[in-house]
Amino acid sequence: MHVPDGILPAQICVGGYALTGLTAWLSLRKINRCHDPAQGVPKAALLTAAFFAASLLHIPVPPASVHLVLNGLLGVILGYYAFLAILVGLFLQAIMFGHGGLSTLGVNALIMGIPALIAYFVFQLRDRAPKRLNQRLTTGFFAFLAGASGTAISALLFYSLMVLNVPAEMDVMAERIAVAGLTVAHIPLVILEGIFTAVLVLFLEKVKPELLRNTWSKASS
Amino acid sequence: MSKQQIQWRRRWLSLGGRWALPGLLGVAIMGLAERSLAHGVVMQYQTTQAVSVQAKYDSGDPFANAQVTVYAPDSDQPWSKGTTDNNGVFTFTPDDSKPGTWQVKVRSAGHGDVANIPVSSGTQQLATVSGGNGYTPLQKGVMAASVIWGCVGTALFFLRRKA
Repeated sequence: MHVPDGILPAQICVGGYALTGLTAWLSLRKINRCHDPAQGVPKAALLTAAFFAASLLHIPVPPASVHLVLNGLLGVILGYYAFLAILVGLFLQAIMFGHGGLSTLGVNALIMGIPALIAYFVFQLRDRAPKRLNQRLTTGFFAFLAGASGTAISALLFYSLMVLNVPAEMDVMAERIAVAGLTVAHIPLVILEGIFTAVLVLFLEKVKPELLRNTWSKASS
Repeated sequence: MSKQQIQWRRRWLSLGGRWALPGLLGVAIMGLAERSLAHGVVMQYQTTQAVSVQAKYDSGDPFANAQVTVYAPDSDQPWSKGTTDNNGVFTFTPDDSKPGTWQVKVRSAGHGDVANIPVSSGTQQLATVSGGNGYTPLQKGVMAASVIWGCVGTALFFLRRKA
């Protein structure tokens, strides 16, 4: 799902950087407004490490090989820290392993960071769920939904970006079919991410539920 | 030369005169039809040096059936197009009269790479110019571990005040 250098036209790369800058600024403002901005940093740092390492573990799904993205999980646990964590993780991946590219860092941050924020809001819906339902079950369900939607939205963003930006000298149809094939290959991954997120969230809910409760919602209101 | 010989020759000449036109026409038609009637194949060969490009995912799997576009030096127009085979290999023969840096773009499903291949007019060297990195798994492991340790250290640093 990482867009390498030299695939996208320059305008899109610049636009990606601009939107990433804006989103990062909004995230930082949100974090700065909560009563203890440094409180979320340890878990953000640890999940950045998880995000960084996850992309190195390839899971072969014919015809391509995909890897866990974990952006849904980051969104669920980190909230507004997630976008920054993903930005840092992508930067490290790009400079160390050439995974993605520096010119497309902005675009990649959007592809993976925006779905993370969406996943966060999806997970917050669990508080709106009727209280008479099994609490554990609702948490698990919304965690699955958040984890799965994070990856699914990323895959769709990647797909649309690729389909709209096929160079004219290429065989457009063949490339579209190839992109569609890769996107379809992400369906098992989406389910896997959902299950992984649900399992981890249920575990955290049991041992350290305050990790899943972010404090800025109280402080900023 | 005897009389009989002259007579024979004259007859032969007149015969030739009578059949000259149809004969020539026949040869002309044969000439036109020659291409379709020919069964022999003439082959020529010359040895040139080709550039073979192999594309792989960074996981080591071949980058199969990817679209390849080759650009000659100082040209925006594709010089050659093709697809990689099942092993991710694509071979082309650059024009020796255009020395410089040939650019090969490989792309499939939004993944891809660009390789710049120097081609000199004289002897050509076949070298690996593909992008990416040639880290060994051990190096990769050390790099990943150092990044992870950096993250853990950051986490510990920010946890420190509470302790």
